[in-house]
Order: sequence, then structure tokens, then C-alpha cells
Amino acid sequence: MSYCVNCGVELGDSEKSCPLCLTKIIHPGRKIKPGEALYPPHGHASDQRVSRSGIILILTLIFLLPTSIVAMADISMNFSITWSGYVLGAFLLLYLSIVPPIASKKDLPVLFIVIDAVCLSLYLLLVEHMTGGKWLVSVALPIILGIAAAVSVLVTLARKAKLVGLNLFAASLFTAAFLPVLIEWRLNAAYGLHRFFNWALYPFVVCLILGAICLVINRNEPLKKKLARKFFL
Amino acid sequence: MNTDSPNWMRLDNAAKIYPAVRKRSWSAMFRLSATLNETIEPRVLQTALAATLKRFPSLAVRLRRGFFWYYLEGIQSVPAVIQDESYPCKRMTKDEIRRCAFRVLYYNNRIAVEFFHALTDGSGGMVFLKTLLAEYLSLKHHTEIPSIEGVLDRNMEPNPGELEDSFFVHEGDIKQSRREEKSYRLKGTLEPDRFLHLTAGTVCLSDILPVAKRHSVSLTVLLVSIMIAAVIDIQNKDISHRRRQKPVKIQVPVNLRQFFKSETLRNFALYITPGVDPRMGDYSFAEILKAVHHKMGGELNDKNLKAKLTANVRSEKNLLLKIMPLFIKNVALRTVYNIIGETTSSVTLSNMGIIKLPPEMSAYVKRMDFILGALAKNPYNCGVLSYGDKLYINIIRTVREPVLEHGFFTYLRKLGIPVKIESNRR
Repeated sequence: MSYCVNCGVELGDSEKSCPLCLTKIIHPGRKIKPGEALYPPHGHASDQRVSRSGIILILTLIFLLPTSIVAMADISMNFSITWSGYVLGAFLLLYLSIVPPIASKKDLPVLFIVIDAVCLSLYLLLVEHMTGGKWLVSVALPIILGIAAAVSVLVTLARKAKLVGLNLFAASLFTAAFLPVLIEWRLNAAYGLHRFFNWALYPFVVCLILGAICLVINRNEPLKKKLARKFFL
Repeated sequence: MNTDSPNWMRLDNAAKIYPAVRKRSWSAMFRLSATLNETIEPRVLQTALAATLKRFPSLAVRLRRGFFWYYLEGIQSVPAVIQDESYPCKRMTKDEIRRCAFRVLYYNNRIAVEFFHALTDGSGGMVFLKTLLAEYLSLKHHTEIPSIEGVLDRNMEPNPGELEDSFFVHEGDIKQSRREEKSYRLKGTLEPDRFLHLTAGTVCLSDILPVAKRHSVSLTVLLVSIMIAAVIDIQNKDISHRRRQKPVKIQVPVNLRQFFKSETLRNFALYITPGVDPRMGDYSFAEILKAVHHKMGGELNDKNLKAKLTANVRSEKNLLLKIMPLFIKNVALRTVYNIIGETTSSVTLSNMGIIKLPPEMSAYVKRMDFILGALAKNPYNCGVLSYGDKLYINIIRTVREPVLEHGFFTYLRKLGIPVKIESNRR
């Protein structure tokens, strides 16, 4: 009969250390014959799990199927990559936004947001190049960077500062408020549409006020409970 | 196997969720076992299983897919008894459930049965185990074991009441809202190979019952309160900011056969979730006991349970849900389960109560156990039963750290109750 010196519980004869606190069992000056184990030893790995590399291989093959057909069709008709460039670029963008998070063993959401932003920018660069436009640097790139920065900040706040519920929703509204301002600013600068903001201030003000309302509700516990009671689904 | 069992059966009301939310890495399982004074003979056990299964057409089944619902189909051959593995309640794969949705296992002196929860609940499973055990002992020792204390007569035809879906039989007029506040979720490092750690605590009833009596509460109330106290300690260490803490609630399954007339061997249980909200302040153990005692006292009556049961039955009768193809239904049920299924409690504690055997059997049986398999996301579960003069508490976990067990069993020690601990080690 053994006892854990830490927890004070009696231990089964087959235990080599306390199952509760993992303290090693010591029998000073005597040898104890090990008792019958409660369960057979864990000898074989019974679960066969699909490996990450296996999932990536399957995904790669799935992506190769439509892309290779589209590329072959384009080349057979036009003897070069023409319209299929859009499709191939879009599939590559999708692939790069799905595969790195699966391949990574670490949980790095901000890094993947940055990768997604870079990939999207490159895809739009391709589209701009193929259509002969001049809108990437002046319009699309600032918007993509703005959205990526906003999402990164929100993810960081939710994870590091443990921002949840209405607080997180309020923070999302505050950051979303600046998005239409950014869009209209870049459109005005690129195409000279208006001298000052024309429409972006409406969603800007609405988002700011809604965010403030969420913060107020979150701080007022009785009001929060009353609203939850009135509006539950 | 030649039985007069119906060829197929609908899943009962409580069972419907289990196949829908089953995953590759998890299926809802529970285990009942009996440890004898002698080593188990697999051949005798196999013969006993063949003889016993005829009496349990609702358990000798496999799960099949229909267009609108899953259903249970009688199996044609007796499943082979298998050697126990290093951990209990191992998940059943889709193929296993399609072949036979329960297992019979043996290891040294122990016979165990593990069920996919869609077949039955603890009470139905216990009747099966007792009857299987009676058949095994009669074959082995040529003794006559009477059909009392939950042992069924293997030579009798199954009673239609044993196969009924009692939820529908006892549906009422008023339904109760199922809306509940979320509870604190325990965390830990998941075992990559899904190994389940079991910590089995044995307590003398003569040590613990006086403590419950001293506090004027039942044994279940005492155990649930200790569990709540242990979870509160863990939450205090995890989230120091009181306003960010969450209520601590324990899911306690209720055997509805105690409240409604039913002989069913299928699922017939509901849950209540007693608990406290630590955001309101520090609770003394006496206050936790009081909160749990009154919550359980207030909810455990036939009227309240009927209203809860009715809400579940009405959901199943919903025409929109009925006409939805199974694959859409599965997505819907899975989504609902992921959002609210396990969020309203920190851990489940199921007490099967006192298990009695006919005296002719109890002479051979030294121990009984009830192990509730892990849930999909909540990392701990606890199954309890009393047999002879002992209380057997089995805590299972999917994570590496034995945090809850440590808190729970050392709390028992603090109350002056000696505990013996055993475990399955990797």
C-alpha cells in the first residue's frame, strides 16, 4: 500500500507515480512488487491520423486538376497563356491562402494575413498588367494594406488582449469605420472625383456611433442583460 | 443470430444528436464494467454474449443512414468479444458503428461493455451488463441466477415497453426554454493520438456518506459541489480578472425512469446543470452545497422534467427539420452542437447510484465501474457508481494535465475522506 506524500491519497499497487500530481512514489528501505495494472499497457499507436503533408498533397492535386485543364485549353486555342492567366492566378491565390496555415505547426494568424495580403496584391498586379490598367498602386494596394492592418490589429487584440463579445464587435466597427474613408480618399486622389469626402462620412459616423453604443452597453451590465432578454433568438 | 427483433428502429429522441455530431476523432461512448474475483474466460463470455443478445434487440444493432434520418438495424451475427485496450471508451469509427454499435471487452478479471450513446443510456446499458454477467456466471459455475435486481430472463421474449421511445410517450403540453448561460470551459494540451487518461478513485461509502449527511445533502449533491469547487479553483488560476470569469456549471444526467413510468432500454435521460457564478463573489463550500442542493431540488420533479422533455420532442416533430435531407440535417445539428452543445457546462458528472446484484452474482463480483467517455470539446468527464461498500469515481480526460482530478480528489481529502487512486498509464 502506497500513499502520495504530496496529495495524501492512497495509490494503486501498479502506480509508479501519483496520477494526480505526478510525484514519484518512494518506498524507503523496501522493495514493492508491482500490482496488476488497471488497463493493458499502451503499446501500439491505435489511431491513424492523416498527416499534414498528406493533406497538402491532396489539396495540391485538387488544385492541379482545374488549373492544368484550364491552362491546356487556353494553350491549345491561343498557343499561349491568355485568359487562363486570371484563373490560374486566382487558383494560386486561393492555394497560397489555404496551404500555409495547414503546413504551419505554429499558430501565427497575423503572418498568414500578411501572406494573404501580399498574394492578393500580386494577383491584382497580374490583372493590372494583363488589362493595361493603372490602379494598383493608387487605389487597390492602399485598400488591401489598410484591410490587412485592420484585421491584424483585431486578431491581435482578440488573442493577446482577450478582447471578446461586444468589446471585440465595437473594435471591429471602429476599424471598419475607416475603410470607406480610405476607399473614397484613394478614389478621389486617383480619379479626381470629388475635392472632399462625399459618401464615406456616412458609414464612418454610423460605425463610430454603433461602436460607442456597443461599448456603453457592455459596461452597463443590467442593460446588457435586459437587451439579451428582449432580443434573444 | 436468429432473433425476432424488428429489422429496424428509429433512433430515440435523445439519440438523434450522436450520429450527427460524431467525428473522425470522437464519438459519444460510455463504458460499464464488472470486475470479478476470477480471470475471465473469453470463450464462455462469447457464448454468454450470444445467448444474451437475443433478449436485447434494441442493443444488438448497427447504425444505418436513411435519406432523412439515421436508423438502427438488427445485426445478423454476434460480435466477437475483444481484449481490452490501454484506455476505455475508444471512439468508434464510422465502419465500426455500421457493423455493430457496441463492444464487449475483457481484461484479466474484468468484463466491460462499451456503447455508442445512440443505442442506450447508462441504465439500459447496466441491465445489459448485469444480464450478460448472469449468463456468463451461470455458464461458468452452473448456478441458477434469479432474474431480479435488473437481471432480465434470457429465455423470455423482449417486452415491447423495453423498445419504446419513452420521450414521445411522456410528451406534455408545455415546453421549457433550453436557453442557458455559457459555462467556464476547461482547457489543456490535447493528446495527439487521442489517448484517454483515466483516473479511478475509490472511496468507502462509510467515509463519504457521513460527510454528506453532516451537510444534509445527497451524495450526488456533495460530489457535484466538490467538482464545482475544483473547477472554480482552476478558473481562478486561469482568469484572475473576476469580471472576465464565467459561471461554473456541472452537467448532471437525470435518469427519467425515476420520474416517469418506463421500462425502456433505450435512452431516457435528461440533463440539469447546477452551478454557481463566481463573478458574484467567492463562494464558500457551504454556499456551493446550498446552491446545488436547491437547484437540483427545484428542477428534479416530474412537471419540470416533462416540460424539458417536451421541448426536445417538439424539436424533433418540427416539419422543417423532418423534411430536411440527412446531410443538411447533419450540418445543422453539428453547427448547433458546436455552438451550444458543450458550452453550458464545464464537466459532466453522472452518478448511476447504488448498483445491486442478486446475491448469487455479487459473491463473484468485487467491483463495478461506470466510465463516461470524453465529449468532443470538453476535456473531462466523470462517471460515478456505488457498489457494495465502495464508491467508484472515474474521471476521464483527453488532455495531458491531470488538473481537475487533482483538484477533485484532493478536495475529498481536505474533507477528511480517504481516497485510493488508480490510473491507466501510457
